[in-house]
Amino acid sequence: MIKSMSIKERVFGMTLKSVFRRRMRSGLTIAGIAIGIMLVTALLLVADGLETQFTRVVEEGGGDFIVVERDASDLMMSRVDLSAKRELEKMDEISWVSGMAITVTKILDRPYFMVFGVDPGEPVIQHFEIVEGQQLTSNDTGKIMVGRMISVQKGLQVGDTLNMKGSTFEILGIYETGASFEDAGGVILLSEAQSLFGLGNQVSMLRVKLEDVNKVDAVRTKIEKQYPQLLAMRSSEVVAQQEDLQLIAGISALISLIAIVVGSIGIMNTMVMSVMERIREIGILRAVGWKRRSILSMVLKESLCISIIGGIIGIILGILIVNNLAAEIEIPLTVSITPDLVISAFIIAVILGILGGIYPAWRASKMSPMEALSHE
Amino acid sequence: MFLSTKNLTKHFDGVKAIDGVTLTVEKGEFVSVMGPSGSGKTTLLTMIGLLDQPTSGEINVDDELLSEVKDEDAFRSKKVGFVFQFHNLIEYLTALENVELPMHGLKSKAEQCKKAEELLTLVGLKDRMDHIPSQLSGGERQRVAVARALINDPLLILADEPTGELDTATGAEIVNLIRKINKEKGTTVIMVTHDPEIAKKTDRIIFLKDGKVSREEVVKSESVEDFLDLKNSTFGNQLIQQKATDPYMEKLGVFRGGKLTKEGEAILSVFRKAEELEKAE
Repeated sequence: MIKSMSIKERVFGMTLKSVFRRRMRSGLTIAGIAIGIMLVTALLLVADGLETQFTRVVEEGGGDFIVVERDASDLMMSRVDLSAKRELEKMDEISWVSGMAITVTKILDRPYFMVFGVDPGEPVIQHFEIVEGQQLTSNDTGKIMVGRMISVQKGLQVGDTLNMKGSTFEILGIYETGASFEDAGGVILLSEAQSLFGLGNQVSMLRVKLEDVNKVDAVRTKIEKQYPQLLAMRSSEVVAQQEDLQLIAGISALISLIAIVVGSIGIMNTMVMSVMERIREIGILRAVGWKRRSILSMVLKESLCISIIGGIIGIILGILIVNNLAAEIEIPLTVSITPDLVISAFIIAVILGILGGIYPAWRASKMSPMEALSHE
Repeated sequence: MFLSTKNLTKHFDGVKAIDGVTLTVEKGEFVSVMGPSGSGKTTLLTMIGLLDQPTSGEINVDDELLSEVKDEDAFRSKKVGFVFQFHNLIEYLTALENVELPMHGLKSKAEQCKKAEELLTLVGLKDRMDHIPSQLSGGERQRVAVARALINDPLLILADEPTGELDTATGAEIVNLIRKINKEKGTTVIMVTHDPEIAKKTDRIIFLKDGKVSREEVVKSESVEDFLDLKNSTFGNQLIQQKATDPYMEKLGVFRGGKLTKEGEAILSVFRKAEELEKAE
């Protein structure tokens, strides 16, 4: 029995009753919202996942900041001459500098295989933690360490050989870092990477470790002054500097905006129709003493109810799709569902409900009780 | 005096729906408003209930000038209870929820909840509280509407043809219910109707024509009606003409040997008194 329920619960019950009374229309609207929010969630997840991975690649090799080519749109496009490395090493404030080449190639049927060229004498090699086999040493020409993810996906084992750009590499060890870009890629000697990918005497980035971490800003300024073609950044700034990541973020923002606009129009259409059909009902409510703002909140609640249900379904679908898609096409993307992300998608759903509901709610509340009552 | 209107007018696009209505209603009175369609009955009711504003003139309810009421919604929910002709319940809410609607946003909700149940019991729908309107008969729906009108203990019930959609017997039940509430709670009632039989159950009938009060009639009580029926019967005629045409009159002892007895004279004097009163009216 509902008798002991409070009036608040009952009015909320009224919202649900009203929404589910028109199952077909509410259902279709909810489906529309769900698709929009699903897209938004999926894009947010992908953009966020890429950012996280990218940040880790840069961050976890040690060092206080990195140095890249100023005009490069992407880390893989960046070229820094090793002469700069040697000159930086001479600076008193700097403890060590290490260079790394990051390139991408095709192996087996995998279109994107990231190859990291490192100098085993430098601390960055410790970042690639060996789980099987051996770590790369300076003498290991023609050898490669591969990430655990690709080894599992492609059934690669220590001792197997890989064909890359016409050269054959023997798998020396398998490593795991936790960053899926790396775990889906491989590590070879820097010198081999340079000749294989035609880098000459260049690397993609330098990691710089200072004697005194408090001098980061001073040293960065000094380096950028001395080498105008270079850019020194903390790892947290790298993502903001990556044009392709920015592009993905931009596209996801744009699609979110389109989803909000389209979803709002959908809800608005549904709610305007609902209000028009219920003019008499609104008249009765006004006649029994409901205030304009009660009518306003009644319509808004219904619109929010639709958008929130749609939003929740959409968020769940978005997460499922990205997870399945990532597994399906084997993209090196670890999807991490953070509360922030779910809240963002949810807020978008709420905004959508308010935007779509405010006009019909306003119209419903503006009706004079008399006109509404005499409506047939 | 509980309610009064003074020179009330209402124009719709230049048409005078109400044209200078002045009337008064006493506290606890049950008044019906009759008149042909378009005579302004409903318009009058909606202005008294603050659903609409008059073009000119004033309305006073419970010592309050309606044009000066600040919170119209509170006036409608607390002082007035509406019962409409039809479509007056929200179809997807149960009887109980419909009855509770006027207390939306008011205090002591739990208490009012209990009250909705009490009122539904009062109107005889104790077992049908959780039914939605489509599961109720026409008469039951109007009972729910009456219960809803009562939820906030209004001073005034405004009923717009509450029996208009009901058959004669059910209509009579609803009016009897409103009459019962009027007597027991002392609630003042103004009811629009076009059914003379229904109007006869109220205290007074106000006739409207072309937006004006054409006449008013105090409804005689049933005992008065019965007495007048008796006076106008064959029995009454024989007494008044002092001529017994029926041998039964001798047996009753009002005539003996064709002449009025003392008892007969006594009854005749009562009939004469009634005739005098009728003429005086």
